Amino acid sequence: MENLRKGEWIAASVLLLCIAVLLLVSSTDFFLKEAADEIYTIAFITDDGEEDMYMKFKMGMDKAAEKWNVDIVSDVSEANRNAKEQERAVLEAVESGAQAVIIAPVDSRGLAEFMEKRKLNIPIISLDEGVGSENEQGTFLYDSELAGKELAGAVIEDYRSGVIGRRILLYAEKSGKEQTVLCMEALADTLAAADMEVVRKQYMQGIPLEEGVVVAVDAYTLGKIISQKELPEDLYGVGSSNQVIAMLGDGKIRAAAVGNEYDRGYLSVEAAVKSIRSGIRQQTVKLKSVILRPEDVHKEQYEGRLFPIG
Amino acid sequence: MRKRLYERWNAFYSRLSLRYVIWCVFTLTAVLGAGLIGASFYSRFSAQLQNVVGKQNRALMEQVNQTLTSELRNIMRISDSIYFSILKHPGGIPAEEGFRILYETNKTAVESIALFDEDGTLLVSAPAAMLEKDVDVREEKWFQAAAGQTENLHFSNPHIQRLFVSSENGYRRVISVSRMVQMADGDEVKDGILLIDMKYGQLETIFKNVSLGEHGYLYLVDHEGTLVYHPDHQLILDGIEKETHVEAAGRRDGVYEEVLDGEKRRITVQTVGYTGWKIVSVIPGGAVQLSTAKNLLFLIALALIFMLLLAVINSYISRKVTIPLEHLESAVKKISEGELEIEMEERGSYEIRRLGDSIKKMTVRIRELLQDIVKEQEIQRKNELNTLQAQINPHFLYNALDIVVWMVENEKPQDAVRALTALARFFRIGLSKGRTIIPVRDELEHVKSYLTIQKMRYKNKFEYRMEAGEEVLEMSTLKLILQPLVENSVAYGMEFQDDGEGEIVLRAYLDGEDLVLQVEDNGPGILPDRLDAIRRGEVLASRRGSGIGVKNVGERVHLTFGGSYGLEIESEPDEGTCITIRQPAKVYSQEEAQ
Repeated sequence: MENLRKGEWIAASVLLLCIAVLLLVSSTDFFLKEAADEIYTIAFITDDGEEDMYMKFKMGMDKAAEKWNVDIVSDVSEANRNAKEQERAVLEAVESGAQAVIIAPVDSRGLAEFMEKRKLNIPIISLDEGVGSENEQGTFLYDSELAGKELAGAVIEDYRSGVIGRRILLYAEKSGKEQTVLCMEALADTLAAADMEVVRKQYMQGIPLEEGVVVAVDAYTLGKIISQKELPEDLYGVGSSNQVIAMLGDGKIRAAAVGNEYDRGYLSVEAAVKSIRSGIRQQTVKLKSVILRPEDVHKEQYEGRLFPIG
Repeated sequence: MRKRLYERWNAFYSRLSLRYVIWCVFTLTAVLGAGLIGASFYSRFSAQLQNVVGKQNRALMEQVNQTLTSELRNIMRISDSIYFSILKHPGGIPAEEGFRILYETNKTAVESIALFDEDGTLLVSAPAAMLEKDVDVREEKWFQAAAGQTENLHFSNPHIQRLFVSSENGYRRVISVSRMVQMADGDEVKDGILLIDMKYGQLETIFKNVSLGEHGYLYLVDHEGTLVYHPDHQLILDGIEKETHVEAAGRRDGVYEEVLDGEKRRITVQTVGYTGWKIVSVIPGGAVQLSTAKNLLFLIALALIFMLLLAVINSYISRKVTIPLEHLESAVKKISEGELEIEMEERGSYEIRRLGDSIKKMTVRIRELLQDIVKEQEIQRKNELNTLQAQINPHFLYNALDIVVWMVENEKPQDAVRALTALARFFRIGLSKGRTIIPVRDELEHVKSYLTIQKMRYKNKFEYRMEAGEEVLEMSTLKLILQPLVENSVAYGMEFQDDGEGEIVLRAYLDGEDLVLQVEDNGPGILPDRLDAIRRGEVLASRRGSGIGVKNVGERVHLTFGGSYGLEIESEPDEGTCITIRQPAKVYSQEEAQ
């Protein structure tokens, strides 16, 4: 050993160091972690307004959770229809260790300010409406404008066939969400262009609906209307819940813009995981709704969308 | 180009030590061998692992197949029981009761049991239910598949069952098992369709409980390529995920390799009895391999450890082999530099020991040869000395006898006696028992005898005197080195002197470590050209002699005492000549003289 040259000593030392580092890296989790071992915690904050529609969304989320090793902590409460309550829920979720939040924000701007103020630096996956903050890592919404135009097309078709009257009542909830407004505007413009009488109304629980053809512009309003004892004779709307599908199948709803909640749930969790893993920022994804008539409900082509396989 | 490369390689190779070459070759060979063996083992191990996993998968698929077949048989048994025990025996259990009992017994697997006539009218159902008002069962696929094919059982794909009125908002996914039956109606026999809706959840449970590793999965496909079950069924329907189910439906039972979205997969296909469905297992390529990042790093670390061990072992071996060679090389180098008295260690392998031994013998032989050469030179030198002395003595004898002859001719017997006495003393010292080294005292006595004779010969034309301290008289010197010089002084310097004007001075003194003997005369001196020639060692004959006396003295001093000692001549024309001999000062001893 004493006869080794300086260069040989250096080479042997470097080799030993490499071996030690390689053994350390390959035998411990200090430097290299197997990706599959990590469990991600993602909070889902929503109201319980459309319970059975949420069920399909949840099915999609669960599928993604199973695939991506995610622990989904759901905060589903009527109180989450209030902006302040949503902020509190987000704060609680972050404090409980959530690595991302999936939320349908009531006040997107307020939520962005709140998160900035509290320095809550985790990805936000927004449903329905973009948050417009640095944290926002993806927005999954339906193309409400297109849905509005197509639903208006179904109404116009029925009117021209003499099935319904000319007076159209557009009912929407009070919150004035961006997507609801877009859908309302598209419906109103298209119907007006077809020389129909359009009346914009705010849905208020307990107050009877006016006479005329009723179009529920958002899923919340349609859910509330179909849960009433007496349904309007001519009802159209936006929604995907099992109850809406059943009513549509029964012909109690003449046409509905039906979204794919399963996919939205799946994709939102997938976007959250990708954002946690590598900071990949998902673009805004506009999902397409389809306009379904009663006779479409049992068509094989729509079966997956209406009755997703868990 | 090749030649240049070859030359470069040779130049590089010649700079490498043998130890380094052995180390490199050993390590490289061992690493290559180990790499090949490792790769071979890895490949075999991977293949075996693949086989084991493949066998496990097939066993698992077999198990799933059996479970599924068992479930289907159960449904078929229910169907058979209804058909053969209830419908064909009108006198037996009432149909409603029979349907109810069978439904209740199997309701974990069965969603509903119903009997329709050939017009699609519901005859019996369990649980009891009403048909939806707008439903025409004759348009249903399961009805059409069963109609006209007596006793054959038909399995539909999963679908939402919407036949019966339900108060629930949920939806029921079922697999419809239908068959055409013949029912006794009084004396007539009527055709009907028996429908058993198997719960899709039952099928899901069978497949969901199976684990094929982290990324492997099973799915079920019918013969047309329509998915019956798939863990990502909905995602495939919505186009988010992809599957090769259509291709799989066309495959025979067996194992296949395929690529989907750039990812290699191994699929195994197995047909389910009665239905024509196929169970397909999918194992992604990476799932069975050992090549995860950590495994690869671990393997690299093992390889490096192995390399390090090899390097250390090879270093030890190469040192063991080359150290004796290095010792030999060092010994040979010393020998080539003239150092023959070296110690050589006897170590290393047989061949190296033999080589060392040969070199040792060669050194001894060289030493012997050198000693022989030295001896020969010694003998040669002595011979030369003897020859020189032999040249001196006849020369002097001739001169001395010439003087005695002259004295006898001139009737000077007293002088002749004196001359002959001096000559006798001269020869006595000249002989000195064969010794070549004598004390300075004897050499001066010898010269004195000579000068006595010469003074007689030259009729007292010159005088001489000797200046020598007591301390130099017992020093040793070469015999007969002053006489030739004095002879020259007499011959060249005294002949032309007037009576008594010539002078020769002999000096002997110590100068540091040296003994200096000097002969000085006041003769005509030597001309510069001749002086230069004498200094160069050229022998210049003259009419008074051959000129070899002085040269002989110089060579004898050189040969005896070495190159740094010798003779020096200084002469000035008309002034005189002084010849100085310089030699080491050493006290005379008899032994040394011998």
